[in-house]
Amino acid sequence: MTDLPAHTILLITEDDPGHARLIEKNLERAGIHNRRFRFPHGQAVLDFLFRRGPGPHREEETAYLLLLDIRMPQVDGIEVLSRLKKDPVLKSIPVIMLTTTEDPGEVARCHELGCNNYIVKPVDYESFAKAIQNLGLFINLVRVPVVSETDET
Amino acid sequence: MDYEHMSKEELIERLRQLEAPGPSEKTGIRHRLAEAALRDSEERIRAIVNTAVEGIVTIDGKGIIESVNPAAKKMFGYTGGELLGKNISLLMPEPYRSRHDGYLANYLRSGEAKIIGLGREVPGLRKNGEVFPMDLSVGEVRLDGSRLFTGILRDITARKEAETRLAELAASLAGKNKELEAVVYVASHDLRSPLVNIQGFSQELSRACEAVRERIARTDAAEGGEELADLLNEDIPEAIGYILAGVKKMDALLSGFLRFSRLGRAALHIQRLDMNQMLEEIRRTLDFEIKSAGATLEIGDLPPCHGDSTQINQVFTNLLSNAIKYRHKDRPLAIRVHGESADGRSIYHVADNGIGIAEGHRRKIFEIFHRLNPDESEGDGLGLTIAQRVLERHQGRIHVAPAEPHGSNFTVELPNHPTPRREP
Repeated sequence: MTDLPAHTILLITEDDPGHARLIEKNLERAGIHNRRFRFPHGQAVLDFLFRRGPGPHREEETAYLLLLDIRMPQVDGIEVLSRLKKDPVLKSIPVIMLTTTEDPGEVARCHELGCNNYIVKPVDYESFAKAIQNLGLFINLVRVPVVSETDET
Repeated sequence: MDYEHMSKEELIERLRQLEAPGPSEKTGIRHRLAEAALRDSEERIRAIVNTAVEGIVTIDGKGIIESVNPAAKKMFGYTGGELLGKNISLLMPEPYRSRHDGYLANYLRSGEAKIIGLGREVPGLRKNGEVFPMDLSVGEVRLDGSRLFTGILRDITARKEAETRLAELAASLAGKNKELEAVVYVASHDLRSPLVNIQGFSQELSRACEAVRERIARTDAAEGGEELADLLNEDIPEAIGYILAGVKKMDALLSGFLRFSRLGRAALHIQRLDMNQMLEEIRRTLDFEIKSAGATLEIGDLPPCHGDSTQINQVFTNLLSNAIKYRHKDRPLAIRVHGESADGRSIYHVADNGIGIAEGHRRKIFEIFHRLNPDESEGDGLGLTIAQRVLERHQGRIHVAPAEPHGSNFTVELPNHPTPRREP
Protein backbone atom coordinates (compact mmCIF):
# COMPACT_ATOMS: atom_id res chain seq x y z
CA MET A 1 0.00 0.00 0.00
CA THR A 2 2.81 2.36 0.65
CA ASP A 3 6.26 2.99 -0.57
CA LEU A 4 7.38 4.95 2.42
CA PRO A 5 11.17 4.70 2.29
CA ALA A 6 11.86 1.64 4.40
CA HIS A 7 14.64 3.30 6.31
CA THR A 8 12.40 6.13 7.59
CA ILE A 9 11.82 5.83 11.30
CA LEU A 10 8.45 6.87 12.71
CA LEU A 11 8.59 8.73 16.00
CA ILE A 12 5.24 8.35 17.72
CA THR A 13 4.84 10.82 20.58
CA GLU A 14 1.65 10.04 22.42
CA ASP A 15 0.96 10.13 26.14
CA ASP A 16 -1.99 7.75 25.96
CA PRO A 17 -0.65 4.19 25.49
CA GLY A 18 -4.01 3.05 24.08
CA HIS A 19 -3.94 5.69 21.37
CA ALA A 20 -0.34 4.79 20.56
CA ARG A 21 -1.28 1.13 20.25
CA LEU A 22 -4.26 1.91 18.00
CA ILE A 23 -2.08 4.08 15.80
CA GLU A 24 0.46 1.24 15.50
CA LYS A 25 -2.16 -1.38 14.71
CA ASN A 26 -3.63 0.83 12.02
CA LEU A 27 -0.26 1.67 10.57
CA GLU A 28 0.34 -2.08 10.25
CA ARG A 29 -3.04 -2.62 8.60
CA ALA A 30 -2.27 0.21 6.21
CA GLY A 31 0.89 -1.68 5.29
CA ILE A 32 3.30 0.71 6.96
CA HIS A 33 5.91 -1.52 8.59
CA ASN A 34 8.62 1.04 9.20
CA ARG A 35 10.60 1.03 12.41
CA ARG A 36 8.86 2.89 15.14
CA PHE A 37 9.99 4.58 18.32
CA ARG A 38 7.41 5.49 20.89
CA PHE A 39 7.75 8.45 23.27
CA PRO A 40 5.37 8.96 26.20
CA HIS A 41 5.66 12.77 26.30
CA GLY A 42 7.06 15.82 24.58
CA GLN A 43 10.22 16.08 26.66
CA ALA A 44 11.24 12.52 25.72
CA VAL A 45 11.11 13.19 21.98
CA LEU A 46 12.91 16.52 22.41
CA ASP A 47 15.70 14.77 24.37
CA PHE A 48 15.94 12.20 21.60
CA LEU A 49 16.09 14.72 18.79
CA PHE A 50 18.30 17.27 20.50
CA ARG A 51 20.48 14.48 21.93
CA ARG A 52 20.08 15.34 25.56
CA GLY A 53 19.78 13.21 28.68
CA PRO A 54 20.66 9.57 29.18
CA GLY A 55 18.08 7.96 26.83
CA PRO A 56 18.52 6.97 23.18
CA HIS A 57 19.51 9.74 20.81
CA ARG A 58 18.84 10.58 17.21
CA GLU A 59 21.35 9.15 14.78
CA GLU A 60 22.99 10.87 11.90
CA GLU A 61 22.07 10.23 8.28
CA THR A 62 18.67 8.87 9.29
CA ALA A 63 15.27 9.94 8.02
CA TYR A 64 12.62 10.54 10.68
CA LEU A 65 8.95 11.32 10.57
CA LEU A 66 7.22 12.64 13.67
CA LEU A 67 3.66 11.81 14.71
CA LEU A 68 2.90 14.25 17.49
CA ASP A 69 -0.03 14.32 19.86
CA ILE A 70 -0.98 17.89 20.74
CA ARG A 71 -2.32 17.53 24.23
CA MET A 72 0.28 16.06 26.53
CA PRO A 73 1.21 16.98 30.09
CA GLN A 74 4.12 19.40 30.56
CA VAL A 75 5.79 19.73 27.17
CA ASP A 76 2.87 19.54 24.76
CA GLY A 77 2.84 18.93 21.02
CA ILE A 78 2.64 22.61 20.12
CA GLU A 79 5.81 23.31 22.06
CA VAL A 80 7.67 20.38 20.51
CA LEU A 81 6.61 21.58 17.07
CA SER A 82 7.73 25.17 17.65
CA ARG A 83 11.09 24.05 19.10
CA LEU A 84 11.75 21.82 16.08
CA LYS A 85 10.79 24.47 13.58
CA LYS A 86 13.21 26.92 15.19
CA ASP A 87 16.12 24.53 14.72
CA PRO A 88 17.93 24.98 11.39
CA VAL A 89 18.35 21.24 10.80
CA LEU A 90 15.49 19.60 12.72
CA LYS A 91 12.97 21.89 11.07
CA SER A 92 13.14 19.71 7.95
CA ILE A 93 11.65 16.69 9.76
CA PRO A 94 8.03 16.24 8.60
CA VAL A 95 5.59 16.59 11.49
CA ILE A 96 2.03 15.27 11.58
CA MET A 97 -0.06 16.55 14.45
CA LEU A 98 -2.59 14.25 16.10
CA THR A 99 -5.41 15.57 18.21
CA THR A 100 -8.72 14.52 19.66
CA THR A 101 -10.59 17.73 18.80
CA GLU A 102 -10.93 19.77 15.69
CA ASP A 103 -10.41 23.18 17.21
CA PRO A 104 -10.13 25.67 14.33
CA GLY A 105 -7.82 27.90 16.39
CA GLU A 106 -5.56 24.95 17.18
CA VAL A 107 -5.43 23.81 13.54
CA ALA A 108 -4.51 27.32 12.43
CA ARG A 109 -1.80 27.56 15.07
CA CYS A 110 -0.20 24.26 14.05
CA HIS A 111 -0.13 25.27 10.40
CA GLU A 112 1.31 28.64 11.35
CA LEU A 113 4.10 26.88 13.22
CA GLY A 114 4.80 24.75 10.18
CA CYS A 115 3.34 21.30 10.73
CA ASN A 116 2.98 19.24 7.54
CA ASN A 117 -0.37 17.72 8.30
CA TYR A 118 -3.01 17.60 10.97
CA ILE A 119 -5.12 14.56 11.82
CA VAL A 120 -8.09 14.51 14.14
CA LYS A 121 -8.25 11.21 15.99
CA PRO A 122 -11.85 10.36 15.31
CA VAL A 123 -13.73 8.22 17.74
CA ASP A 124 -15.29 6.57 14.74
CA TYR A 125 -12.93 3.65 14.22
CA GLU A 126 -13.46 3.36 10.47
CA SER A 127 -12.55 6.95 9.79
CA PHE A 128 -9.64 6.64 12.16
CA ALA A 129 -8.27 3.76 10.09
CA LYS A 130 -8.88 5.78 6.96
CA ALA A 131 -7.03 8.76 8.43
CA ILE A 132 -4.06 6.57 9.23
CA GLN A 133 -4.16 5.07 5.74
CA ASN A 134 -4.24 8.54 4.24
CA LEU A 135 -1.31 9.26 6.46
CA GLY A 136 0.52 6.37 4.80
CA LEU A 137 -0.23 7.86 1.39
CA PHE A 138 0.78 11.22 2.64
CA ILE A 139 4.08 9.97 3.97
CA ASN A 140 4.85 8.82 0.44
CA LEU A 141 4.40 12.30 -0.86
CA VAL A 142 6.46 14.08 1.72
CA ARG A 143 10.10 14.13 0.96
CA VAL A 144 11.58 12.67 4.10
CA PRO A 145 14.87 14.42 4.59
CA VAL A 146 17.91 12.82 6.09
CA VAL A 147 18.75 14.67 9.24
CA SER A 148 22.46 15.13 9.69
CA GLU A 149 24.61 16.80 12.29
CA THR A 150 23.19 19.79 14.05
CA ASP A 151 24.35 22.07 16.80
CA GLU A 152 22.87 21.26 20.14
CA THR A 153 20.85 24.15 21.41
CA MET B 1 -52.22 86.79 62.11
CA ASP B 2 -52.28 88.12 65.56
CA TYR B 3 -56.08 88.37 66.05
CA GLU B 4 -56.44 85.16 67.92
CA HIS B 5 -54.18 86.39 70.74
CA MET B 6 -56.04 89.68 71.25
CA SER B 7 -58.48 90.34 74.04
CA LYS B 8 -62.02 91.45 73.29
CA GLU B 9 -61.15 95.06 74.14
CA GLU B 10 -58.13 95.03 71.89
CA LEU B 11 -60.16 93.64 69.01
CA ILE B 12 -62.80 96.33 69.44
CA GLU B 13 -60.08 98.96 69.42
CA ARG B 14 -58.55 97.49 66.29
CA LEU B 15 -61.95 97.45 64.61
CA ARG B 16 -62.56 101.05 65.59
CA GLN B 17 -59.23 102.04 64.08
CA LEU B 18 -60.10 100.32 60.87
CA GLU B 19 -63.59 101.84 60.69
CA ALA B 20 -62.56 105.41 61.62
CA PRO B 21 -60.70 106.47 58.55
CA GLY B 22 -57.72 108.75 58.80
CA PRO B 23 -55.83 108.24 55.54
CA SER B 24 -52.42 107.84 57.15
CA GLU B 25 -53.76 105.50 59.72
CA LYS B 26 -55.30 103.18 57.12
CA THR B 27 -52.06 102.94 55.12
CA GLY B 28 -50.20 102.16 58.31
CA ILE B 29 -52.40 99.17 58.99
CA ARG B 30 -52.13 97.89 55.41
CA HIS B 31 -48.41 98.20 55.64
CA ARG B 32 -48.28 96.28 58.89
CA LEU B 33 -50.46 93.56 57.42
CA ALA B 34 -48.19 93.24 54.37
CA GLU B 35 -45.18 93.01 56.64
CA ALA B 36 -46.79 90.28 58.64
CA ALA B 37 -47.59 88.33 55.47
CA LEU B 38 -43.99 88.65 54.32
CA ARG B 39 -42.70 87.50 57.69
CA ASP B 40 -45.03 84.58 57.52
CA SER B 41 -43.82 83.51 54.08
CA GLU B 42 -40.16 83.95 55.09
CA GLU B 43 -40.72 81.69 58.05
CA ARG B 44 -42.34 79.07 55.90
CA ILE B 45 -39.43 79.10 53.50
CA ARG B 46 -36.94 78.95 56.34
CA ALA B 47 -38.78 75.97 57.78
CA ILE B 48 -38.68 74.23 54.42
CA VAL B 49 -34.96 74.89 53.98
CA ASN B 50 -34.18 73.83 57.55
CA THR B 51 -35.99 70.53 57.27
CA ALA B 52 -34.92 69.66 53.71
CA VAL B 53 -33.12 66.33 53.34
CA GLU B 54 -30.90 67.83 50.64
CA GLY B 55 -28.15 70.20 51.67
CA ILE B 56 -28.79 73.80 50.60
CA VAL B 57 -25.97 76.35 50.56
CA THR B 58 -26.06 79.91 49.22
CA ILE B 59 -22.98 81.92 48.29
CA ASP B 60 -22.42 85.40 46.97
CA GLY B 61 -20.65 86.36 43.76
CA LYS B 62 -17.27 85.99 45.45
CA GLY B 63 -17.94 82.48 46.67
CA ILE B 64 -18.56 83.49 50.29
CA ILE B 65 -21.08 81.32 52.13
CA GLU B 66 -24.18 83.26 53.14
CA SER B 67 -26.34 80.45 54.44
CA VAL B 68 -26.09 76.73 55.10
CA ASN B 69 -29.02 74.53 56.02
CA PRO B 70 -28.73 71.86 58.73
CA ALA B 71 -28.63 69.02 56.18
CA ALA B 72 -25.59 70.58 54.47
CA LYS B 73 -23.82 71.15 57.80
CA LYS B 74 -24.44 67.55 58.76
CA MET B 75 -23.27 66.29 55.35
CA PHE B 76 -19.94 68.13 55.65
CA GLY B 77 -19.56 67.57 59.41
CA TYR B 78 -19.74 71.22 60.57
CA THR B 79 -21.78 72.71 63.41
CA GLY B 80 -23.25 76.11 64.29
CA GLY B 81 -22.25 79.06 62.20
CA GLU B 82 -18.66 78.08 61.48
CA LEU B 83 -19.23 77.94 57.69
CA LEU B 84 -20.84 81.39 57.39
CA GLY B 85 -18.51 83.92 55.80
CA LYS B 86 -16.06 81.23 54.64
CA ASN B 87 -15.23 80.54 50.99
CA ILE B 88 -17.27 77.69 49.52
CA SER B 89 -14.04 76.10 48.26
CA LEU B 90 -13.52 74.92 51.85
CA LEU B 91 -16.02 72.15 51.03
CA MET B 92 -14.13 70.92 47.95
CA PRO B 93 -11.08 68.70 47.58
CA GLU B 94 -8.22 69.66 45.29
CA PRO B 95 -8.04 70.50 42.42
CA TYR B 96 -11.51 72.06 42.65
CA ARG B 97 -10.56 73.98 45.79
CA SER B 98 -7.82 76.04 44.12
CA ARG B 99 -9.74 76.52 40.93
CA HIS B 100 -13.16 77.51 42.27
CA ASP B 101 -12.55 81.25 42.62
CA GLY B 102 -11.32 81.22 39.03
CA TYR B 103 -14.41 79.32 37.84
CA LEU B 104 -16.69 81.82 39.53
CA ALA B 105 -14.84 84.88 38.23
CA ASN B 106 -14.86 83.39 34.77
CA TYR B 107 -18.61 82.87 34.91
CA LEU B 108 -19.30 86.39 36.15
CA ARG B 109 -17.12 87.80 33.38
CA SER B 110 -18.22 85.66 30.46
CA GLY B 111 -21.65 84.43 31.52
CA GLU B 112 -20.61 81.01 30.30
CA ALA B 113 -22.22 78.43 32.59
CA LYS B 114 -20.48 75.13 33.27
CA ILE B 115 -22.67 73.98 36.13
CA ILE B 116 -25.09 76.83 36.89
CA GLY B 117 -28.62 75.93 35.89
CA LEU B 118 -27.52 72.32 35.59
CA GLY B 119 -26.46 69.55 37.91
CA ARG B 120 -23.67 67.07 38.01
CA GLU B 121 -21.69 64.67 40.13
CA VAL B 122 -18.80 66.28 42.04
CA PRO B 123 -16.65 65.28 45.01
CA GLY B 124 -17.23 67.00 48.35
CA LEU B 125 -14.80 67.37 51.27
CA ARG B 126 -15.94 66.77 54.83
CA LYS B 127 -14.43 68.58 57.83
CA ASN B 128 -12.62 65.36 58.79
CA GLY B 129 -10.88 65.31 55.38
CA GLU B 130 -13.05 62.58 53.89
CA VAL B 131 -13.90 63.02 50.21
CA PHE B 132 -17.34 61.81 49.14
CA PRO B 133 -19.38 61.84 45.92
CA MET B 134 -22.39 64.13 45.68
CA ASP B 135 -24.92 65.32 43.17
CA LEU B 136 -24.80 69.09 42.95
CA SER B 137 -27.21 71.42 41.21
CA VAL B 138 -26.66 75.17 41.18
CA GLY B 139 -29.21 77.90 40.64
CA GLU B 140 -28.65 81.63 40.35
CA VAL B 141 -30.66 84.44 41.94
CA ARG B 142 -30.22 88.12 41.00
CA LEU B 143 -31.24 90.59 43.71
CA ASP B 144 -30.76 94.35 43.45
CA GLY B 145 -27.74 94.05 41.17
CA SER B 146 -26.00 91.44 43.36
CA ARG B 147 -25.91 87.76 42.66
CA LEU B 148 -26.65 84.80 44.83
CA PHE B 149 -25.92 81.19 43.93
CA THR B 150 -27.87 78.36 45.48
CA GLY B 151 -26.34 74.91 45.62
CA ILE B 152 -28.50 71.88 46.34
CA LEU B 153 -26.45 68.87 47.41
CA ARG B 154 -27.13 65.21 47.88
CA ASP B 155 -24.64 62.76 49.38
CA ILE B 156 -24.58 59.78 46.96
CA THR B 157 -21.95 57.69 48.77
CA ALA B 158 -24.38 54.83 49.38
CA ARG B 159 -25.59 54.82 45.78
CA LYS B 160 -22.05 54.87 44.42
CA GLU B 161 -21.04 52.02 46.71
CA ALA B 162 -24.02 50.00 45.54
CA GLU B 163 -23.09 50.73 41.91
CA THR B 164 -19.51 49.64 42.56
CA ARG B 165 -20.67 46.45 44.27
CA LEU B 166 -22.99 45.73 41.35
CA ALA B 167 -20.21 46.28 38.82
CA GLU B 168 -17.90 44.01 40.83
CA LEU B 169 -20.59 41.38 41.00
CA ALA B 170 -21.20 41.58 37.26
CA ALA B 171 -17.46 41.31 36.59
CA SER B 172 -17.13 38.34 38.90
CA LEU B 173 -20.11 36.65 37.28
CA ALA B 174 -18.68 37.20 33.82
CA GLY B 175 -15.37 35.82 35.10
CA LYS B 176 -17.10 32.76 36.52
CA ASN B 177 -18.89 32.25 33.23
CA LYS B 178 -15.61 32.33 31.35
CA GLU B 179 -14.05 29.97 33.87
CA LEU B 180 -16.95 27.58 33.46
CA GLU B 181 -16.56 27.66 29.70
CA ALA B 182 -12.87 26.91 30.06
CA VAL B 183 -13.65 23.98 32.37
CA VAL B 184 -16.25 22.67 29.94
CA TYR B 185 -13.74 22.97 27.13
CA VAL B 186 -10.91 21.18 28.88
CA ALA B 187 -13.21 18.52 30.31
CA SER B 188 -14.80 17.79 26.93
CA HIS B 189 -11.44 17.65 25.29
CA ASP B 190 -9.94 15.32 27.87
CA LEU B 191 -13.01 13.11 28.02
CA ARG B 192 -12.78 12.42 24.32
CA SER B 193 -9.37 10.88 24.80
CA PRO B 194 -10.52 7.78 26.72
CA LEU B 195 -13.45 7.55 24.33
CA VAL B 196 -11.03 7.01 21.46
CA ASN B 197 -9.71 3.99 23.35
CA ILE B 198 -13.10 2.56 24.24
CA GLN B 199 -14.24 2.74 20.65
CA GLY B 200 -10.94 1.69 19.11
CA PHE B 201 -10.46 -1.35 21.30
CA SER B 202 -14.11 -2.40 21.05
CA GLN B 203 -13.51 -2.57 17.34
CA GLU B 204 -10.32 -4.52 17.97
CA LEU B 205 -12.39 -6.99 20.03
CA SER B 206 -14.86 -7.23 17.16
CA ARG B 207 -12.08 -8.05 14.77
CA ALA B 208 -10.64 -10.63 17.18
CA CYS B 209 -14.07 -12.28 17.50
CA GLU B 210 -14.39 -12.38 13.75
CA ALA B 211 -11.04 -14.12 13.53
CA VAL B 212 -12.01 -16.64 16.19
CA ARG B 213 -15.33 -17.28 14.41
CA GLU B 214 -13.57 -18.03 11.15
CA ARG B 215 -11.17 -20.33 12.95
CA ILE B 216 -14.03 -22.28 14.59
CA ALA B 217 -15.86 -22.54 11.29
CA ARG B 218 -12.82 -24.24 9.81
CA THR B 219 -12.27 -26.73 12.65
CA ASP B 220 -15.45 -28.75 12.16
CA ALA B 221 -17.72 -29.41 15.13
CA ALA B 222 -15.21 -29.13 17.92
CA GLU B 223 -16.52 -29.94 21.35
CA GLY B 224 -18.78 -27.10 22.59
CA GLY B 225 -18.49 -25.49 19.18
CA GLU B 226 -22.15 -24.57 19.06
CA GLU B 227 -22.03 -22.82 22.40
CA LEU B 228 -18.93 -20.89 21.31
CA ALA B 229 -20.64 -19.91 18.09
CA ASP B 230 -23.57 -18.47 20.07
CA LEU B 231 -21.22 -16.39 22.15
CA LEU B 232 -19.37 -15.19 19.12
CA ASN B 233 -22.39 -14.58 16.92
CA GLU B 234 -24.77 -13.07 19.44
CA ASP B 235 -23.62 -12.25 22.94
CA ILE B 236 -20.31 -10.58 22.18
CA PRO B 237 -21.54 -8.57 19.17
CA GLU B 238 -24.53 -7.44 21.21
CA ALA B 239 -22.29 -6.23 24.04
CA ILE B 240 -19.96 -4.46 21.66
CA GLY B 241 -22.95 -2.92 19.89
CA TYR B 242 -24.15 -1.34 23.12
CA ILE B 243 -20.66 -0.14 24.00
CA LEU B 244 -20.26 1.52 20.61
CA ALA B 245 -23.73 3.09 20.71
CA GLY B 246 -22.88 4.53 24.14
CA VAL B 247 -19.60 5.88 22.85
CA LYS B 248 -21.32 7.51 19.89
CA LYS B 249 -23.84 9.20 22.12
CA MET B 250 -21.18 10.43 24.53
CA ASP B 251 -19.08 11.68 21.66
CA ALA B 252 -22.02 13.67 20.33
CA LEU B 253 -22.56 15.24 23.76
CA LEU B 254 -18.91 16.13 24.13
CA SER B 255 -18.82 17.64 20.65
CA GLY B 256 -21.82 19.73 21.65
CA PHE B 257 -20.10 20.93 24.81
CA LEU B 258 -17.00 21.81 22.82
CA ARG B 259 -19.00 23.71 20.24
CA PHE B 260 -20.84 25.60 22.94
CA SER B 261 -17.73 26.52 24.93
CA ARG B 262 -15.88 27.58 21.78
CA LEU B 263 -18.71 29.99 21.05
CA GLY B 264 -18.14 31.89 24.29
CA ARG B 265 -14.42 32.12 23.58
CA ALA B 266 -14.67 33.29 19.98
CA ALA B 267 -13.99 37.01 19.51
CA LEU B 268 -16.93 39.07 18.25
CA HIS B 269 -16.47 41.28 15.20
CA ILE B 270 -19.33 43.72 15.59
CA GLN B 271 -20.36 45.48 12.40
CA ARG B 272 -23.47 46.83 10.75
CA LEU B 273 -25.41 43.91 9.31
CA ASP B 274 -27.73 44.12 6.33
CA MET B 275 -30.31 41.65 7.52
CA ASN B 276 -32.21 41.50 4.20
CA GLN B 277 -29.02 40.29 2.60
CA MET B 278 -28.26 37.86 5.43
CA LEU B 279 -31.71 36.27 5.32
CA GLU B 280 -31.47 35.86 1.55
CA GLU B 281 -28.12 34.09 2.04
CA ILE B 282 -29.68 31.79 4.62
CA ARG B 283 -32.58 31.12 2.26
CA ARG B 284 -30.10 29.99 -0.38
CA THR B 285 -28.20 27.82 2.11
CA LEU B 286 -31.40 26.13 3.29
CA ASP B 287 -32.90 25.98 -0.19
CA PHE B 288 -32.79 22.18 -0.32
CA GLU B 289 -34.39 21.73 3.12
CA ILE B 290 -37.09 24.30 2.36
CA LYS B 291 -38.00 22.67 -0.95
CA SER B 292 -37.90 19.13 0.48
CA ALA B 293 -40.30 20.19 3.22
CA GLY B 294 -42.60 21.86 0.66
CA ALA B 295 -42.32 25.01 2.74
CA THR B 296 -42.79 28.66 1.85
CA LEU B 297 -40.49 31.28 3.32
CA GLU B 298 -41.69 34.87 3.24
CA ILE B 299 -39.14 37.52 4.21
CA GLY B 300 -40.36 41.06 4.87
CA ASP B 301 -38.24 44.22 4.80
CA LEU B 302 -35.86 43.91 7.76
CA PRO B 303 -34.08 46.72 9.60
CA PRO B 304 -30.29 46.46 9.88
CA CYS B 305 -28.60 45.70 13.21
CA HIS B 306 -25.13 45.54 14.72
CA GLY B 307 -23.55 42.19 15.47
CA ASP B 308 -21.07 39.51 14.52
CA SER B 309 -21.97 38.34 11.05
CA THR B 310 -21.13 34.63 11.57
CA GLN B 311 -22.85 34.32 14.91
CA ILE B 312 -26.01 36.22 13.98
CA ASN B 313 -26.21 34.18 10.79
CA GLN B 314 -26.07 31.07 12.97
CA VAL B 315 -28.94 32.32 15.15
CA PHE B 316 -31.27 32.82 12.17
CA THR B 317 -30.12 29.64 10.45
CA ASN B 318 -30.92 27.72 13.64
CA LEU B 319 -34.35 29.35 13.90
CA LEU B 320 -35.23 28.56 10.29
CA SER B 321 -33.95 24.98 10.52
CA ASN B 322 -35.97 24.52 13.69
CA ALA B 323 -39.08 25.76 11.90
CA ILE B 324 -38.45 23.19 9.17
CA LYS B 325 -37.63 20.42 11.65
CA TYR B 326 -40.70 21.01 13.81
CA ARG B 327 -43.25 21.48 11.03
CA HIS B 328 -46.72 20.01 11.31
CA LYS B 329 -47.23 17.05 9.03
CA ASP B 330 -50.87 17.91 8.30
CA ARG B 331 -50.39 21.41 6.89
CA PRO B 332 -47.83 22.88 4.50
CA LEU B 333 -45.17 24.80 6.38
CA ALA B 334 -45.25 28.58 6.04
CA ILE B 335 -42.45 30.60 7.63
CA ARG B 336 -42.66 34.36 7.86
CA VAL B 337 -39.73 36.58 8.85
CA HIS B 338 -40.42 40.24 9.51
CA GLY B 339 -38.96 43.01 11.60
CA GLU B 340 -39.21 46.52 12.98
CA SER B 341 -37.14 49.13 14.83
CA ALA B 342 -37.92 50.49 18.28
CA ASP B 343 -35.89 52.38 20.88
CA GLY B 344 -32.50 51.78 19.34
CA ARG B 345 -33.27 48.09 18.90
CA SER B 346 -33.99 46.00 15.86
CA ILE B 347 -36.65 43.42 16.48
CA TYR B 348 -37.09 40.38 14.25
CA HIS B 349 -39.82 37.78 14.25
CA VAL B 350 -39.54 34.28 12.85
CA ALA B 351 -43.03 32.83 12.84
CA ASP B 352 -44.09 29.40 11.65
CA ASN B 353 -47.27 27.31 11.55
CA GLY B 354 -45.56 24.20 12.87
CA ILE B 355 -46.28 21.99 15.87
CA GLY B 356 -45.74 24.87 18.32
CA ILE B 357 -44.35 24.66 21.82
CA ALA B 358 -46.50 23.84 24.82
CA GLU B 359 -46.41 26.58 27.43
CA GLY B 360 -44.63 24.39 29.96
CA HIS B 361 -41.77 23.78 27.52
CA ARG B 362 -41.08 27.36 26.51
CA ARG B 363 -38.27 27.91 28.99
CA LYS B 364 -36.81 24.44 28.63
CA ILE B 365 -36.18 24.74 24.90
CA PHE B 366 -33.24 27.06 25.60
CA GLU B 367 -31.55 24.53 27.91
CA ILE B 368 -28.46 22.78 26.63
CA PHE B 369 -29.18 19.39 25.00
CA HIS B 370 -32.91 19.79 25.47
CA ARG B 371 -34.83 18.33 22.56
CA LEU B 372 -38.57 18.29 22.19
CA ASN B 373 -38.94 15.12 20.13
CA PRO B 374 -35.64 13.27 20.29
CA ASP B 375 -37.03 10.30 18.38
CA GLU B 376 -38.79 12.20 15.63
CA SER B 377 -36.25 14.79 14.61
CA GLU B 378 -32.56 15.20 14.03
CA GLY B 379 -30.53 17.63 16.08
CA ASP B 380 -27.94 17.99 18.75
CA GLY B 381 -30.14 19.95 21.16
CA LEU B 382 -27.89 22.97 20.91
CA GLY B 383 -29.52 25.29 18.34
CA LEU B 384 -31.51 27.47 20.72
CA THR B 385 -28.93 27.27 23.51
CA ILE B 386 -26.39 28.65 21.07
CA ALA B 387 -28.84 31.29 19.83
CA GLN B 388 -29.48 32.45 23.37
CA ARG B 389 -25.77 32.58 24.22
CA VAL B 390 -24.99 34.53 21.05
CA LEU B 391 -27.70 37.08 21.86
CA GLU B 392 -26.50 37.41 25.46
CA ARG B 393 -23.07 38.30 24.16
CA HIS B 394 -24.61 40.84 21.78
CA GLN B 395 -26.74 42.41 24.52
CA GLY B 396 -29.76 41.16 22.65
CA ARG B 397 -32.64 38.90 23.58
CA ILE B 398 -34.58 35.95 22.26
CA HIS B 399 -37.94 34.70 23.35
CA VAL B 400 -40.77 32.63 22.03
CA ALA B 401 -44.53 33.02 21.99
CA PRO B 402 -47.25 30.99 20.31
CA ALA B 403 -48.17 32.09 16.79
CA GLU B 404 -51.79 32.43 15.68
CA PRO B 405 -53.52 30.13 14.92
CA HIS B 406 -50.72 27.51 15.03
CA GLY B 407 -47.02 27.34 15.51
CA SER B 408 -44.33 29.40 17.20
CA ASN B 409 -43.16 32.98 16.93
CA PHE B 410 -39.53 33.55 17.90
CA THR B 411 -38.57 37.15 18.58
CA VAL B 412 -34.95 38.26 18.38
CA GLU B 413 -33.85 41.68 19.59
CA LEU B 414 -30.51 43.20 18.67
CA PRO B 415 -28.98 46.64 19.09
CA ASN B 416 -29.12 48.72 15.90
CA HIS B 417 -26.08 50.79 16.87
CA PRO B 418 -22.64 49.68 18.06
CA THR B 419 -22.87 49.05 21.81
CA PRO B 420 -19.96 49.00 24.26
CA ARG B 421 -18.94 45.50 25.33
CA ARG B 422 -20.14 44.52 28.76
CA GLU B 423 -17.98 41.46 29.10
CA PRO B 424 -14.56 42.03 30.67
